[in-house]
Amino acid sequence: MSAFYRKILLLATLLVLVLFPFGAPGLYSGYYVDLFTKIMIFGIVLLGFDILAGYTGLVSLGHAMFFGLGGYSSAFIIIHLSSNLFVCLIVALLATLVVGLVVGYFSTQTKDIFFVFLTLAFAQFLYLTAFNLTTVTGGDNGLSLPQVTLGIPGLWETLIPRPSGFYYLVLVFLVLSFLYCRRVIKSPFGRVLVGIRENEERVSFLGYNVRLLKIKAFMISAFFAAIAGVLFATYQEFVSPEMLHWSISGDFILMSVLGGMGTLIGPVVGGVILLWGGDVLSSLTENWMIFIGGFFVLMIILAPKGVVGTISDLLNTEKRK
Amino acid sequence: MTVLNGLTMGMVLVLVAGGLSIIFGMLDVLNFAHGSLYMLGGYLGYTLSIATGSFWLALLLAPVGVAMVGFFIEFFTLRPLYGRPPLHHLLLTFGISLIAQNAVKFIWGNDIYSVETPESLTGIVEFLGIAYPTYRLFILLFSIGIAILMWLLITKTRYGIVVRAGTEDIETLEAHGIDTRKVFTGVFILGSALAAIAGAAVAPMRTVYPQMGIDIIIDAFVVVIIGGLGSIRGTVIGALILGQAIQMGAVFLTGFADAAIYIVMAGILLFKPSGLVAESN
Repeated sequence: MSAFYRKILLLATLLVLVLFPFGAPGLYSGYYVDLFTKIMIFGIVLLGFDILAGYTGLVSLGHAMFFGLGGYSSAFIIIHLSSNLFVCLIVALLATLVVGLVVGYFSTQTKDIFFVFLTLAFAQFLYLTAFNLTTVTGGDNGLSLPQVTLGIPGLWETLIPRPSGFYYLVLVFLVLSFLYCRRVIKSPFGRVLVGIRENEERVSFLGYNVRLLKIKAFMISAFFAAIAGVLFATYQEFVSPEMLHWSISGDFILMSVLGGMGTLIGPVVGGVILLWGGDVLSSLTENWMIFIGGFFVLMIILAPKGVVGTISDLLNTEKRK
Repeated sequence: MTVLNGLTMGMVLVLVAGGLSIIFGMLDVLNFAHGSLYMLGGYLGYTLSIATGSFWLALLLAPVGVAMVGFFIEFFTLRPLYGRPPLHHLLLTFGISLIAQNAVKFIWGNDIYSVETPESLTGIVEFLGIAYPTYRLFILLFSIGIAILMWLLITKTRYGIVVRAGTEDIETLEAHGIDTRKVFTGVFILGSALAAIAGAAVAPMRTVYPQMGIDIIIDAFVVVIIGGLGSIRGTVIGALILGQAIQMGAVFLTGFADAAIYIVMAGILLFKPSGLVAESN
């Protein structure tokens, strides 16, 4: 597919997303605006996650830790300090900087399945801490938080209208995230990350500090997960240890692999498949994950590059004929 | 009492994580679906004990059924994947665990089932001045028995020699004219049966519920990592440590011990990835 068509397709998608809430009560129920807000929040995580898992080849089973960290940071800020979204974001990013550097520093010493389990270990530690520290985190019951506001603290602040206001807020974040991540992967830095995935030794022989680059990739993906966590928590007005649970990390991997790791847009497509597809299937049976699981198994065996990776492969061979 | 509970729990983990460990050592596959096989063991055990009216028959037949499921998993989904990065195996078995868990919910529903303790094992025994539920004691001894059987199988039989050689060096094994594919299938079946035995055996103690597979798989991974991936001796020790940590944590620290175990796990992954117990040659 040429770059031109790809651009057209992306702009068309954006147009659909911008117009989407207008059809709400008329063409389809407002429930779908809610669903798409959540899908887009996951999209933000998945964009960042792909830089780490898809491009650098470090699959983390602990990414929910930053999603949850973003959520809990904003919960504490809204409850104790300020209801302003930007204050939440700044604090969440600072918290992620600290935790991410510690976890990233250690985790990047390993790779492959060792990396998978090391990130899992850190995330589980955080999950169980949040679960057990009932006095601070509310434990299993979680925390309800007041509504978040936009604006300049002290001067002018406004609540975010729902559902469309929040929808557009998330959409703006998603678009900015996409543009930023695309810049990252097209930059020389992004190319080196792919080099690390393909052959780490060669990259280090070329004089790159592989470890530092891995930590950078780790931090970038952690920041996006935290931003998404802030949006998710403030949207739901609720946080619970579930946000930190490894099954959320598992979902990130599931979505990424389904859509196609290392294609940037693929994992987001995977998110759409899992969440929207899951929503459609859930009207058939309560245990709809059986179909997603089956589809996932088939994909791993037959098309490990995922939906987007496989389609773009097909289109490329077609062109060569 | 707490120590004894920890020991019982640890021995159950030995059965589950032991299978996981042999499978990884031989096939290089980290089997995420191992918890699902344990869960299937529990559910099949429940259904069979009702159908046959005998707990013992169920305990015997459930592992056979699950071994068949294990065969299908290995033959149809893992075989095409040998030679791919180990991550693919982990992802594949993760997908299988999703299927299994939802299939179980589909067949048996979301209910929690309790399996009746066989009459001969109800009540409490007293020894060394402690009163201990008979069934828990049975689980403890039963698990030790199975573990010893496994140990004999692996160290004393021809099949065991092949398996041990396989964990060391697959290519040399193939060069000796052994069909490693068959061995792979055999090992996977054996591991599945072990998980199912554990699932069926603990059912009267812990009940049978849809989350049981997910609950145990992370513990089993922790055990395998603490003990060193692929090391059977390490797995036993890792399981006993985790069993104690969970019980102690539940009694004295309420929750913080199970959080601490992940720091131990992280430390081992970082500084001693071969596990706490290095295999001596």
